[in-house]
Amino acid sequence: MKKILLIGNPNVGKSAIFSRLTGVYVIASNYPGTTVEYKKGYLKLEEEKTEIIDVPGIYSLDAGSKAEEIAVEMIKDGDIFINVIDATNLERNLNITVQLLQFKNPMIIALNFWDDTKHRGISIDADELENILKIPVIPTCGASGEGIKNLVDHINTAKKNQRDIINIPDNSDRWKIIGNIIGKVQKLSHRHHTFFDLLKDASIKPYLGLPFAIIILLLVFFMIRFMGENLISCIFDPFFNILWLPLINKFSLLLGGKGFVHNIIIGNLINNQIDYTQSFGILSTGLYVIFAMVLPYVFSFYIVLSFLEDSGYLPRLAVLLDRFMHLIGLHGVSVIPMLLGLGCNVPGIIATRIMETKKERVILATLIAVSIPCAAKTAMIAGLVGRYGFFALLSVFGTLFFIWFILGIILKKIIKGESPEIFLEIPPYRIPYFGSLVKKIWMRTKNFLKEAVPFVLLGILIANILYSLNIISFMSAIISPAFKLLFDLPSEAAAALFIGFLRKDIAVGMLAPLHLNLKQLIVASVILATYFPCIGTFTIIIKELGFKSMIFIIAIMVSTSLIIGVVLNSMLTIIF
Amino acid sequence: MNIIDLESGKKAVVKHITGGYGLQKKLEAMGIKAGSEVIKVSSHFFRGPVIIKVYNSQVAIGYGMACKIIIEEKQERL
Repeated sequence: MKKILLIGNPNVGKSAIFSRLTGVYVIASNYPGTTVEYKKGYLKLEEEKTEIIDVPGIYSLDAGSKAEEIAVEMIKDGDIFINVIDATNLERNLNITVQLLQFKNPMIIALNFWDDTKHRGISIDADELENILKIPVIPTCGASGEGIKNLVDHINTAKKNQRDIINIPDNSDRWKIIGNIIGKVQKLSHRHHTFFDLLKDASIKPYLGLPFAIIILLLVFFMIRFMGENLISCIFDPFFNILWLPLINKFSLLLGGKGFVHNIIIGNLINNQIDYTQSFGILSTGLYVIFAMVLPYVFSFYIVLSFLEDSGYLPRLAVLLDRFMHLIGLHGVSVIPMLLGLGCNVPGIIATRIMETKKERVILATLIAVSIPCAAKTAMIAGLVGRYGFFALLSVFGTLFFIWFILGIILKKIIKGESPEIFLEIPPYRIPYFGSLVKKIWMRTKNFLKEAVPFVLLGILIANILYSLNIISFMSAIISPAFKLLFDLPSEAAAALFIGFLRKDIAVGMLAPLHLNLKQLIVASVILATYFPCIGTFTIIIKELGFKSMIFIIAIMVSTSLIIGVVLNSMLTIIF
Repeated sequence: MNIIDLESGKKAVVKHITGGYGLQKKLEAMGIKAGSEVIKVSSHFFRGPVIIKVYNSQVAIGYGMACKIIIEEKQERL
């Protein structure tokens, strides 16, 4: 099978074009390094199945970074190149084009962001560029799909034509040749500064940028809360209370109101009634936790995150926080994996590939696993602790932030290796395309449900079985003296630790029927957040960083939760 | 003078990069090499990153790296 490679600088829209060509959706955002692993898809060309590969973005074939080495290996294996170019930054992008021309493979240029050139005062003579380079040059707009059909048509013709290899000498001469080409094909006209230019400048300067960042982050927080709360009170709670409750009540009667099967499916009746947070059955607490407690916040979080990603703000945030991140052995770009981790730790840990060295990746993955709660966990903790007010919440999340910071400083000291400096292209602000935004939010929400539904329900099933077989009371009896002594928590809370390996949200939910006091709730929430990765995070850590790093991270998690549990318990005992 | 010493908003031409082959390659890939015209956009507190504009894109560069980019200021206002 022929292989078509999409090659180009980071953040030129390769992933959007890939999705258009293959129909396979991949996450595309507005920051360099969205694609950290290569993606494969297929396209039918004149009845012949062709493989399309979305290669991670690179600036040059010989700059010597790990990403570049991998990309070069992939290029050697390819048959046809589609070189995706950011038309608004033609000169810099042609650097890799000229390097690619030295291979004999058929090649096509996709001049992406074509629609953007007009209002940026850039006019490019695509036909002239085609004449000079002797390969097809197709203006495209990946996000809207403009020019994609034309691109496909040209793959067919390019496949047949062999072109001459153009030999272009190294480095400085290369830039000279590019300069000559630019002189012939590109004209810049003066234009007035747009609103986006002003915003662009303001958000990257320290005096204006920091207040701007604080406003943005506060806005993000309140928007997620506002949307989440309203989704619950206007849609999900009414659904569960008015429509769903009568149904499962009938079902409960049918099952006789008690017994093993009843308790697994419907749960324990509390005062002869189903209580969504306490009954702990698959159809009661299971569905309620997923849809009415977690999903609304996860969905709201992804709306806001996706908008932030596509707008191009995140690299600016990375620059503003760069100096601070150096305190914990990272640079500013690490805020991106961390933000992704706030949605779900798994994509956050995959995104650590955006960092250059192993040291940075281990620090970052550890911090994400220990102290960055995913949206599901956050929603559950907020639901449980939130009714005691702002300071109760602050003590949970403040503690997590404290752990994040102190642990970061320690890890920076104990992990050997280098922490390089930030080197990041800042993309222009773009107004996100509504269609691609909706698609992205939908894919992420779908992925959440795919993960959450089976594991939450499985967690409830296992918890019920363990309870009825008295395994939990047996294990709790062993743990309970230590649990009581160290954390002042009832032995039942230890059961949540077992289930927490499957899903943290349902584990936090297991605390609800225990009637803990505020101090116990805070201590238990922090311990549950930090003590061990959930199964998804566990697997991805092994896959991304290896078995040794996984052991290291788990050792850190267990000891952190022990220490912080004891310290927090004693401190809060004094305060209360 | 290096790019740290340049005032924000001023234009300059890169003279050379003092630093290893690796750094030179890394910067060159982004279009920062002897002869490139750059504009300093801003710099951040406490030896934070420096933002420059090179070709049509803005690039954030760590302080240590920025020290190694030797430039000559261009005497013209933006």
